[in-house]
Amino acid sequence: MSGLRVRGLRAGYGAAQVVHGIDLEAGPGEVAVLLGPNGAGKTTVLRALSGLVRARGSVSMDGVPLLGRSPDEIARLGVAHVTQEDGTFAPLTVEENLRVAARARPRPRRGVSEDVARVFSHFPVLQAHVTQPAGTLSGGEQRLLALGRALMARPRLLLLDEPTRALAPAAGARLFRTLHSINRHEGTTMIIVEHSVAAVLEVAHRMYAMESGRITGLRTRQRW
Amino acid sequence: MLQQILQGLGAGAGYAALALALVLSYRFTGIVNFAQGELAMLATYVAWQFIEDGLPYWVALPVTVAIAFLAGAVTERLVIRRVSGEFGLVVTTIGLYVLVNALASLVWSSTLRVFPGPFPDAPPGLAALGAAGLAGLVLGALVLVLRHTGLGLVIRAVAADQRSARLSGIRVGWVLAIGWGTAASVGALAGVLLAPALFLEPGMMTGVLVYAFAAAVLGGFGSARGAILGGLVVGVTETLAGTYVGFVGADLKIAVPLVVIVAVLVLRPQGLFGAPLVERA
Amino acid sequence: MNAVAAGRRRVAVGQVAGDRRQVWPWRRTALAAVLLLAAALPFVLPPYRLFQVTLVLVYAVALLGLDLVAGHGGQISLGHGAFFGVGAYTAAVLISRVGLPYPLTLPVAALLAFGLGLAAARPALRLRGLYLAMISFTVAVVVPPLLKRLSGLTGGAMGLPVPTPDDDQVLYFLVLAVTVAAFAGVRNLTRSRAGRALLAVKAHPAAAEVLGMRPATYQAHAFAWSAMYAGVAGALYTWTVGFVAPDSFGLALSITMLAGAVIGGLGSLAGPLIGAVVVLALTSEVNPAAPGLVSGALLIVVICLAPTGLSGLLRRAAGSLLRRRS
Repeated sequence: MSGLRVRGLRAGYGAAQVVHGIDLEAGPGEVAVLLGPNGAGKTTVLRALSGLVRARGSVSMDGVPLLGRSPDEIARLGVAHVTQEDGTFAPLTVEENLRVAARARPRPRRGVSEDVARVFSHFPVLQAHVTQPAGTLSGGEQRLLALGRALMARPRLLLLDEPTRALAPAAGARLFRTLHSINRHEGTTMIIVEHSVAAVLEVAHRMYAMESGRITGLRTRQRW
Repeated sequence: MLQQILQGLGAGAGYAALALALVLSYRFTGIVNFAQGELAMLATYVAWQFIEDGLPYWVALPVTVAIAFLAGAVTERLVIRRVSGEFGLVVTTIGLYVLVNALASLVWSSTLRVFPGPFPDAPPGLAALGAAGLAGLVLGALVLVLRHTGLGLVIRAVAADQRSARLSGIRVGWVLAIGWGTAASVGALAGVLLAPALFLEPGMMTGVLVYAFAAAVLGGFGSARGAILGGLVVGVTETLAGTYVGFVGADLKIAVPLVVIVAVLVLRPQGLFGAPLVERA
Repeated sequence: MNAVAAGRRRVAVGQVAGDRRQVWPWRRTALAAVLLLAAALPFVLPPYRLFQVTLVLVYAVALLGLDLVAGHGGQISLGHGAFFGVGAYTAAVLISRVGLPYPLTLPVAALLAFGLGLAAARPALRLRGLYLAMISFTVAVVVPPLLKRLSGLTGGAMGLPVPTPDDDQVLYFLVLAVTVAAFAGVRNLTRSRAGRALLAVKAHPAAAEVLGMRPATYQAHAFAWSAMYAGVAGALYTWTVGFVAPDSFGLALSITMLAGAVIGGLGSLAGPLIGAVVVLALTSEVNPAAPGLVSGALLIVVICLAPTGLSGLLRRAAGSLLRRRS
């Protein structure tokens, strides 16, 4: 288990290159946070890691190279990406959304029902809407559902793009506490993109500052 | 009049099946597959060939449906996959329309051929009802698979949001192929059910495609339920209009779907069950 | 930035519209040479060949119209065979039943086709372009039976013969004049504000709407203009061929025209001309299956491998040739 190693990552959209060679690391079970202003390229970094955007450089997770693979392949290798857009299947019910996400797990897919129960224990509001189509949930609830889906995949690496965006501050704080607890109990490595430093102080082991496609600073927390 | 309605329902079941095939292709690839009817026609010719060569009807039918499934899946993987952009995709399906039609003419010539119905010994009204019932059974089975199996769940997820499906580890490429295969099978069913009345010839399904458009639009393009209901309504309306409205007569029945489409788009663009399809960015 | 320099990047179909600052140097002399050649043809070619060239010009006008909608507008219309037929039948009926002199049938056909195009486009274009494709397909299927039904006016399924001008060469020059005017018209249209607005709408309808353009209006007007072009071409067809029959103007013609437009190359001025040659080739084949196989296969191959059509390929070839020289 060596965690995530990113070296010289360059990525962009056709002629518009957005990420200009960044190095990034997160040890196994660590939480690394990417901070920076809008347009810095943080979302593009996550997209490059999950395979949604073509990238060059080197990316490896626990020794397995990720670049050049298709997104579903990367997902099956244990990478879960919660995007800024909704990421839920609107016509499917909450429960169906969670169950279908278990597809990313390696076979045999046991314990799906227990995992669904565990997601409900993290996010009780989802259990209240369990048979409703996901599209009828509020924006914040859909974010939580997307997160729940990511957890169903039992990921080794969780990529979160502004997870508290659609949430009120209190709910956001609760979410980070939940993430903290998940990180501690299940050892999931996480890369979180966020705007505000205050929100992530509790959770982060490493904080990367990013601007105009480059890493401009790194702070690691010694005490944990 | 009852006879007419039953006949209309029988035809409507065929239109409903082709409309459902259109909706399936639409849900997976986001375009109207103009070749849906021709693929169905080709499958019907294949069935005809099997029956000509001695295979009993009830064996030829499932075999043909299976072959159609494969053909649809292969078409998606080989052709549709390689084209990007709505314009290119639709034009490709038009190209397929022309190609498949010409292929059928080449192999089987344009001679009209007789195609047996599923219940040849039954009186016509009952036979039509039986055909509708058969279609209903198959479609019902499809719905069961979609709603209650793991595979169905995956298929519905891909139809809802391809990108999220990829991020959930689903092999979207295979699912798309399955989607098109299913659409082709349903289309084949439509062809086989309609061929007895229309007589098998290469141009058989062009008119049906028009009826299927009307059915899908009436139902709300994108709604499977709507396509089925729309097909039945269009079938009955067409038959009644052909008999009782003087100007329409037998040869201008094809104008009925045009009227339906325009009426729906002007009065209620989202059809019976759909969401309003505004111009997307 | 031209598509040539972009290399192997996959170009969306018709995307080359607008970047016409391409590789033809000596453009004016080339144009003059082409016109001179065109004017000389009637004195050089045997009558049947002249007939074929005239037909190519006729189809070119129709394809110019279709290109407005498909190439510049990015929409799919399968109804242009019907508009062509409307123009053809209008001219035929006016000449043979009313006795109107030839040149007057042109504006009537043009106006009628324009009006029908506008009426047809409004409801469909408020929604996704797929509806236009479906409706135009349906119209194309309905038109031949309708024409047969109105047999009192149209001569029914047997068709309507129309006396053609005695002098082939005069006819050719008439058609050539209209064709040149049509090309000039399209060139002006696409360079005008309306033309550029149309391109903006095609590229990003939502953004265009935010900027104050109403996509549906621009597209509807473009559609009406293109219908008019097809109607004019139809009238020219009647002048040239001297016979109209309902089955000639159905779905097959619409598809052949679309195929010609795509294969010739969308969004360029040379494309419709090349496409017209393709249409002529496809409509004069004797074996019914052969044109289908060829056009269907060609259409798919072009979309997959050469989205800019034959004119795009020629442009690339000319471009690389010229670069090698310098």
